[in-house]
Amino acid sequence: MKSIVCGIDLGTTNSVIAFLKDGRPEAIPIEDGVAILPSVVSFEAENGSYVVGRQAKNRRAAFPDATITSIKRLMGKESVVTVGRQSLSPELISSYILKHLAERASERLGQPINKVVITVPAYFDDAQRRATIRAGELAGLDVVRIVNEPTAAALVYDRVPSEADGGSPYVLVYDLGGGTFDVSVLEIKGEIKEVLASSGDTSLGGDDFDELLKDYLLGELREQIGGKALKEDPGLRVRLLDIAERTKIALSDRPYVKINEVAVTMHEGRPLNLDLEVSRVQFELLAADLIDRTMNKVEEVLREAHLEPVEIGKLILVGGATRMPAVFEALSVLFEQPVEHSVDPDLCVALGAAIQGGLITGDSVGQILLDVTAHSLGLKTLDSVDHVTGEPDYFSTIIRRNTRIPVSRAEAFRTAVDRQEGVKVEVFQGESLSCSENTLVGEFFYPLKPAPAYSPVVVEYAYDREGLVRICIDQKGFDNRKEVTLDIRNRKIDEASGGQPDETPVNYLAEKAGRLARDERLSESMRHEIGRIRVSYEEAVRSGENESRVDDLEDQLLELIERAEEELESGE
Amino acid sequence: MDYWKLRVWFGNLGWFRRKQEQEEEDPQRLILEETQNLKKLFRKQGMLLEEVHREQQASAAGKKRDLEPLIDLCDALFYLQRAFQNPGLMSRQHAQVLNMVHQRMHRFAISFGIEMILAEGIPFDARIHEVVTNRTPDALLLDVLEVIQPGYLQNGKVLRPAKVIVGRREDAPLFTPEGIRTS
Repeated sequence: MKSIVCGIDLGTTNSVIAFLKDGRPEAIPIEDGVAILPSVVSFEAENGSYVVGRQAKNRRAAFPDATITSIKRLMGKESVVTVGRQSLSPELISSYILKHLAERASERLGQPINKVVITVPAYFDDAQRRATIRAGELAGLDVVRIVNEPTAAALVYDRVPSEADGGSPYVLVYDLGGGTFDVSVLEIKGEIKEVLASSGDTSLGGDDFDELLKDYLLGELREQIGGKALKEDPGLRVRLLDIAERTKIALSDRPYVKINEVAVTMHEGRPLNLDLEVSRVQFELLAADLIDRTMNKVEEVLREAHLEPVEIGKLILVGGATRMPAVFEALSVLFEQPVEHSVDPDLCVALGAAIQGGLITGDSVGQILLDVTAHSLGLKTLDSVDHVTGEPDYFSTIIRRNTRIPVSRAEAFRTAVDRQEGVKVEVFQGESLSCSENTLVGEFFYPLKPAPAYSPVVVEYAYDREGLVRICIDQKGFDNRKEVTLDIRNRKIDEASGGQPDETPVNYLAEKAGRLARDERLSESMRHEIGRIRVSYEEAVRSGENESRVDDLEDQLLELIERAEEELESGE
Repeated sequence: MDYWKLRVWFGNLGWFRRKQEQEEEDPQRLILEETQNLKKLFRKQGMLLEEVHREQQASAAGKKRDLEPLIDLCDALFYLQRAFQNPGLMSRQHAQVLNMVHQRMHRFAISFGIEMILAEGIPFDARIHEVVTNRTPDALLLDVLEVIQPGYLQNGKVLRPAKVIVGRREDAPLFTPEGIRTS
């Protein structure tokens, strides 16, 4: 059996292990089907045994002196961690995390994992890198290479078909994790990726955004009791942080989130509930300072690399907190170009390390084919007008290009005049801010209930793998909701179906052919041919024609599918 | 999907039958035909496996999403019950009603394969409990004193650990493995 070189993202807050499967990187589930392992080790005082990951994190508040978090911050430093009577080096504690990851991965893959590539922050000095190698050795692993985290992320996006690089060799990697922020500029010279500059903030991450929302919710509760202080209650903090995190995540996909939480705490024998709506705009105002702090670091790193924003060819997002639209907006304003975000930002670095492992062993690494939107999808709004016709022409994006599908995103718009009778919803796809330069894929009329100007209307697009977009439009504050289904490929609106596609494919071959026919990375002729044969094949199957005709069409379809996959693999 | 799986196999059996009838024909042509048929079969099976994998992934993601409203409801009932536990807030009968509704909710969740983690007075288990506060930091053996937020298990997998307050385990007579009470 061929040995595997796994890639490990040994993070401050979380760690991930990945491997190359049939030329494509894949993260390995470690605990309860989850690939993300908290980088926490907790010791049993009685016998010195330890647990790693979620269980260790669960013990932290019970045994704070015996539970070690963020050990990465101490790597390469002359320090020891004392747990009971034991004195442990940061390398040894890190080795427990690495060992746990390698053991779980071995169980999962059914073969021993001895060789690994480990990622480190670009700013790690020589001592910190050597300490990381030592941690690997203590875990019984052969660390075949240490790779910079931004380099690993760039390795992944090298394999994702993209039009974003525009010939510039410079890549900016923006990494906003749970508790840390890093930003780096790389120069790509073929397979060599040199880090030109790196900066960050070790005390800024997604958790800080949760804290802001938590404080806001606490303020709401206090308002209910006339601004009085609430009784110290450990449960209250836990509950508010949980609500805050869920709200933050939901606000990444929709403009408003309703919070209905019963009995968040008790005050003078009465339960205090949370029943309010938080808008993305409110949240972004709260979070503006944090986003600004990251953008200051981005500007700092550009200055250090002696580059202007226009010289950056590709922007890559890493870390779960980059799912917040505010991050997108801030980067888009500074760089005026698309942002690469199609790979899961929590797993991206480990996947890159797995690719590096594959390159070392000489495995062929294929293109990473993701189900993503080929174009941005949005609608026409009044924000700007066509200079020639004087007509509204602004393209407001709802789902950005290269977003993984299936996906559901909503945005809020406002009516332009008092008692506006309705809205002509014109759905466009493309990348230009001007609708006239994009493609109209469907339109329909949505009648409005009488309301003053600037009344909000929420439009939600849910894009599935079959190329169907379910559009829900809702006039806020009224019982006025409409659902239509748009078939992007055929540019057909179905207002009656309420979200159901016309007809399901006859079998898995037709389904696959359908997907390929909609894949805009393929040539027009290939897509057309697949679509044509697929239609004939489905007709033949449905009509129960003679078997040889079905077989013949099936052969043709199989050939075409194979050719299409080759075309995708080669990236031509 | 099942029909098509069968069709792959029975289609193949038909091909073997035809092959027998043609045995007397040109052997080279037969070998070529056989290779092509096998190639087609492998391709189809590869695609079938790919599709099954996609369906499994979609189904796993869908299941998790589908459970969210149920978990939300269980949470809400838990907090409601806890809020009214304070003495004097309601009569014993009212408390009993609330408790019965909660029990039913629990049973309903079980019918979806979801088990709530909300027992108090049991030993702290780091697999299913996340400690929020330890009331006796010097103690080594801890019990769950209070559940702050319920946790959930699905088929033995932890969907969310319960957030708990822990404290020193009370000394109590132990049962021996044979079930005889000792002090």
